[in-house]
Amino acid sequence: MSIRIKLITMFLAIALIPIIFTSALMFHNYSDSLERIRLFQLQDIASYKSDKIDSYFAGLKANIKIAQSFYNIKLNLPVMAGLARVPADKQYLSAKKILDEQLRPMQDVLGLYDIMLVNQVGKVVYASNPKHYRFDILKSLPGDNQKAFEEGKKEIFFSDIFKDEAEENKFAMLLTAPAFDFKGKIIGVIVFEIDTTSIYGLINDSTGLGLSGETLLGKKTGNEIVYLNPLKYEPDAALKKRIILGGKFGGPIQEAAQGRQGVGKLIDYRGQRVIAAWRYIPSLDWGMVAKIDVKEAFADITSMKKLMVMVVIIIAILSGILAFSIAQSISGPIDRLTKGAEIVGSGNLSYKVGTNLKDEIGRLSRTFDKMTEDLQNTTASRDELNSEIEVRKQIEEELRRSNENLEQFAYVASHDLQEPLRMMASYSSLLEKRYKSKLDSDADEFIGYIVDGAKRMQRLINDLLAYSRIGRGGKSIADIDLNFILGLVIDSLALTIEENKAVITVDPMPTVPGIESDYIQLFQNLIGNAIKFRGTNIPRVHVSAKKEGGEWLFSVKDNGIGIDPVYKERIFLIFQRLHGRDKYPGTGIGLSICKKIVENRGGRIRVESQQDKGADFCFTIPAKGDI
Amino acid sequence: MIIAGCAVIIGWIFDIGFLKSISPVWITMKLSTAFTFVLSGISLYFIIRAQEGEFEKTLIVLSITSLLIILIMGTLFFSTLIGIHTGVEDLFIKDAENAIKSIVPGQPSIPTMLCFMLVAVAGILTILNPGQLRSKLRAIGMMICSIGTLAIAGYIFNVPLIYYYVPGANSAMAFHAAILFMILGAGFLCL
Repeated sequence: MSIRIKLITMFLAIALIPIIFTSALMFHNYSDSLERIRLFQLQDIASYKSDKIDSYFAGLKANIKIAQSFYNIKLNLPVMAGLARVPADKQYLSAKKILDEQLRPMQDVLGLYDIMLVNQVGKVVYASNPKHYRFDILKSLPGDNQKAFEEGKKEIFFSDIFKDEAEENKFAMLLTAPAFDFKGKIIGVIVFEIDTTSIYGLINDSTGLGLSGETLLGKKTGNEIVYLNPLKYEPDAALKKRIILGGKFGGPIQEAAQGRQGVGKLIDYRGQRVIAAWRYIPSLDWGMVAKIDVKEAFADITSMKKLMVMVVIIIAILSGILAFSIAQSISGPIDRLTKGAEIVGSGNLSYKVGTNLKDEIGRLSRTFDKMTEDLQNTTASRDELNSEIEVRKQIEEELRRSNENLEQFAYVASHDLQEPLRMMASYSSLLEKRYKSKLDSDADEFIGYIVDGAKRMQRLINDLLAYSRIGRGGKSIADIDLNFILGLVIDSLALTIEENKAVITVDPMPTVPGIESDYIQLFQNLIGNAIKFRGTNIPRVHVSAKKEGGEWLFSVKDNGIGIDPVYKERIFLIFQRLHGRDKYPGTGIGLSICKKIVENRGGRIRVESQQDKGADFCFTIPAKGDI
Repeated sequence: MIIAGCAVIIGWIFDIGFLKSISPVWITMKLSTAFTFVLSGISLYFIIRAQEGEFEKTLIVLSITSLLIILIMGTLFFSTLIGIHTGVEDLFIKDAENAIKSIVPGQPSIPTMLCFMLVAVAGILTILNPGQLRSKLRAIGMMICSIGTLAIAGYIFNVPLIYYYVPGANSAMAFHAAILFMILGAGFLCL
């Protein structure tokens, strides 16, 4: 998984989870609160309306009780009942007039359709509303309300709602109560025909119920519920629409009609989900429901849900963009750095990541650029160095070839010069022998010079030949026991040692790799020089060796005339002499030979000395074995 | 742990009593607790992966689970301290008003919240420093395991105070929550 994806995921998770969590909580709490408020509102509406209905009917009930006590009814109902079939009778008319004077104002005040008096067999003998007269007199109660009559004889009773023919089939209901004579004997039934318009007016008032809300009434009849009022969405439903008890629809009215009260979310008669408050009106055995569609009631919640989803989506998009930008700002330079490393790795040192970022990655990028620049410079220096090395190698090679040629030349020259020189020396010696004192003194002197020069030249050429032979092929390297070599050297120098009464002391010597003749020459030259350059004292020469690291350090120390330190380098150069030939004979090539032998073996040679304080010639040879 | 948490969630969704509470007379494991057990199980799994050196997806998953645990249990914890209703208690499903041994419906016991916050702390520590955590994780495991074990002892000896029920102050820890805490703590101890 790339850093970019990780950063985006982490950023989104950290940004969105708390936002979604907080939004969910806020939404939950808000919708919970709104739902409670809506339910309280509905509860209040349902309670208000049920109370109003209850009090309206309680008022009617109180009025019918008052009517029960009316003197005129007690006096005139029997007259009306007895003369109902002879309405032209004076007594009948007088009784009717008295009742009209009392009951018509009451009808108007109470907003009733009619106040009727019914005889003991259920026939209407008086109606306060003249319009109802021809429909009601000597007939049963409107709406065939036999039950209302029968119950009304016993106690105050409310009938079911019915359509009244006399009121152009408007909805009405009856309130019946027994009528008693002065002795308390039942003489008939007092009937209030109630105009339900006022009840429907109250019920249909949708204040606080929004556009979809309504209040409705229902009554349980058997295993059905019948709706008692015109419904908002089914205006003809009153007394017609029925639902089965326990059915899926009309949940709130089922609850109310079964005597329960409460609030909740249920399915209404249309099959719509509603929030409803339901009440039972015991005096009428009705159920009443105030309801509103969930869709409308929680429209604010739906809007808020949409708003929150939109906000979360916007935040998610912005967070995504931000996360991508941040991830890009971090991973982009890293990618460029990686690409740069690949390009630099492929050899293009001039590549620059180039960033203006001030953060750690910016610093890293700049450091990388600096590194490639340094690397470029270093590479350039290395190239120059390589080129210089190459030039030096060529020069060394040329030098080596030149040295070889020179040595070859020296060898050849010294070798080839020997024969003519020997001839010159021989014949000059012969000339000296045969003609000495036969020529003049100048000739003798000149011949002496020739002989001496030829001999000196012979020695020079011999030494030069010896010098040039050092290190030339032909002799194999072997382990040389220097104790044996020094024995040979001392033997070969026995005459010189004896003449000078020199004292030679030698420490135990190691075995080292090399060529026997070279070591003989080396020690012979060094010990010979130590004796030759003696002082006034008896020459004392001490040869020693010690191991230092991976090499042997040899010392040939004497008590001779010593060397001025100024010349300690010069003495090793070929043909370099510090003294006249007449004082210390020699060709000046001995120490050069020593130097060449030592260096051919990979060692170094030097001298430690002061004028008149003896000399200590030290040289090293790489070690191979122990003493 | 994840399976047990899911089982309790299913119990809440379909109102299956024995999944919510092992005994009808014992407190139910709250929905938030069950959900957080699922998150804790996931956290433990990825903490183990981190200890084994697998960091590829671990850090992302641990960030999410720890954040959710902190949000849920932190909100509940501070709502308990301050005494306000935050809505987390009945976010998806409402607990019964008269739930057994519950002080606030839907609100878990305070030790339950603390245990979950310890799990979240373990997750955050793993995010910050995946290595050299063994001793700290074991200490956390020890605390969680002890809290769970103590509650189980409370149920065994029928001492409500030991399973953290303080009438009027703190709801009890559910029996299966206590068992799961013991297992969760043991999981950390085995790291």
